[in-house]
Formats: sequence, C-alpha cells, structure tokens
Amino acid sequence: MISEIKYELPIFSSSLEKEPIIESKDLNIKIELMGTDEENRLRRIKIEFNSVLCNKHTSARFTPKLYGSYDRIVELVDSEWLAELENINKEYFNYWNLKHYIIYLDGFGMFEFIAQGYEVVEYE
Amino acid sequence: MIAGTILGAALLGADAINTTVEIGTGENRIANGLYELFRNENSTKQDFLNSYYVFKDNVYIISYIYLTLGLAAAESGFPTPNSMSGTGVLDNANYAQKTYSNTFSREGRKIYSELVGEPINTIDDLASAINSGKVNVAEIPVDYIVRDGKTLILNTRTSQALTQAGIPRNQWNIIDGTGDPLFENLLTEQSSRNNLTLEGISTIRPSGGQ
Repeated sequence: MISEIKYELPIFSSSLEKEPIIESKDLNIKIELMGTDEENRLRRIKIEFNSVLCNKHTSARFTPKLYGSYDRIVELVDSEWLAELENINKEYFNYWNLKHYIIYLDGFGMFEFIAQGYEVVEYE
Repeated sequence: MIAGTILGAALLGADAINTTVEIGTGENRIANGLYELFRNENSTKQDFLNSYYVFKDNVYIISYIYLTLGLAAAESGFPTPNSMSGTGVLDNANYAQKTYSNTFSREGRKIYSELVGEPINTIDDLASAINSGKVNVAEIPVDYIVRDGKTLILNTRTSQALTQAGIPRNQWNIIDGTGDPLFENLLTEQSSRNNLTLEGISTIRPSGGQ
C-alpha cells in the first residue's frame, strides 16, 4: 500500500488533555483535539473532512497496519476501499473525486474517511 | 504443551493396553480389522499391514517425545511462550514515547472498570485499586517487544499504574508481543513520532495537568 503524508499533528495523541470530540454535520466530519506539543504547551486542533461518503473507526487493538498514520493524516493512494467503491458505482464515484484518508490516534485507534478533502485549523 | 502432554500420555496409554493384553495377537487383530475396514483393490493386505506398523511406530515415537517434553516443562515450571511473570525481562526496558496522559483510553477505562468493579478512569485509580487489593497484578497484562536486543514497554499507562502502586517489574504479568505486526508496527511509528531511536527512553513524564 502506498500512502502519502499530508499533515502531522503538532500535538501528541498519547498526551491528549481530553478525548477527541467527533462531530458529524451535513457531509462533513470534524475531529477536535486538545493536547500538549513537544514543549508541553497546550494546543487545540480542528480537522474537518469534507464530503465524507464513508467512514470507519477501528480500535487500536485491531490495527496491524498503520500506513504511517500515527499522529498524521495520510492519503492511501492505492486504496482497496476506493477501488471497491469505484467498482460498485463508477459514475457516482467519479462525480465526487474521492480520496481515502487515515489518521491514527494513540489509544483511540484508526479513523478512516472516504472524502473529497480536509481542512485543519490550529489554535495556539 | 499441556495438550501435547495429555495427547502423548493418552496415546502411550492406549499402546500400553494393546501390548499388555496378548502381545502381538491383539495388535494383529486391530490391524486386520482396520484392513477389512479400509481395504481397496489397489493394494495388497501385506502393503496395508506394512503401512499400519510404520504408522503405529511413528505415533509411538511422537507420543513419547510429547510426553517427555511435556512432563519436563511441567516440572521445571517453564512458562508458556507469550506470558510470563517473576522474570527480569523488563528490568532495563524502555518506553517508545516521551509523555503520557493520566487518563486511560475509552477501551482501557471499560476493561479496568469491569475488572475492578468500580470506575477506573486514571492511572491513579488503577494504582489505588492495586494497592487496596481490588485487583490482582496477574490480571493486568503489560505488553512488550524486544527489538535489536532492546526491550520496550507498550502499555505506558498500565505500567505507570503498576509502578505507582509499588509493584516491582519482575512481578508484572508481561506478554511478549515480539513479531506481532500489531505491536511491531505501533512501536515503529510511535518511536518515529517521538523522535526516539529503537532504544527508546527510560524516563517519561505525564503531560499537562490532567
């Protein structure tokens, strides 16, 4: 599997101050994280995945492959999941121009999104 | 190993019964009976009997090995490969992360709360439960892996609770996850994220003010 690193969290998911807040609204899914960075400064991050057509959460105890996604957003380029969706409905698949994004948070597991894109807002 | 021991003993026992009751004769009766049961046009009775005795001898040898190894292991108290306690495996073990949160993950909280019988949310909670005897150390496994001769602990918060409770590492219930992709891949990415070499780090600190 080929994955491309898109974004690295400035905070450590192993040191989160509180649980990730996950919100789903319209076609978007937002993950809010609050934790400490390398200098032990408290920071807040919001990641919003846009036009999410499929998503999946897997326990950390069931993720033998991380694809380089520990504390990162990676795009799985040769995703089998994408290929499966394209095979089911090629026309609809092409309309959305979907990507397969993965982010792994220590202790919380792997979050996967079939989405058009994502935005990150970092708060100091 | 226990299953192997039981199997070995059972097979040896069965053989012993055959050989003590009319040596040779009883065995021939069994062989003849099996021949009648499985006979086919493509082989002679002598072929079948030859195969039977070769098979029986092999079963006897394997059973003997199983029984010998099984009893030896049982007598020496040798542990199963993946779970050990009372050893010094973790004496010089390090961590693959620099900081940790005091609160367990959702899954960790549920598992420990059910185990203890009261809410366990933090490292402090688990340490208190250990100290008060509400949970036995043997019920709290700690995963580790060995890579390039270095031992690294994977369950950071659990190990901190045990340390806080004053339980020496050689009394922890440790599980060797070496070679398991679930643990190996996590360790690789965790070390990389924390800018640590494969040696890890011996001292870690709690993060923030949780």
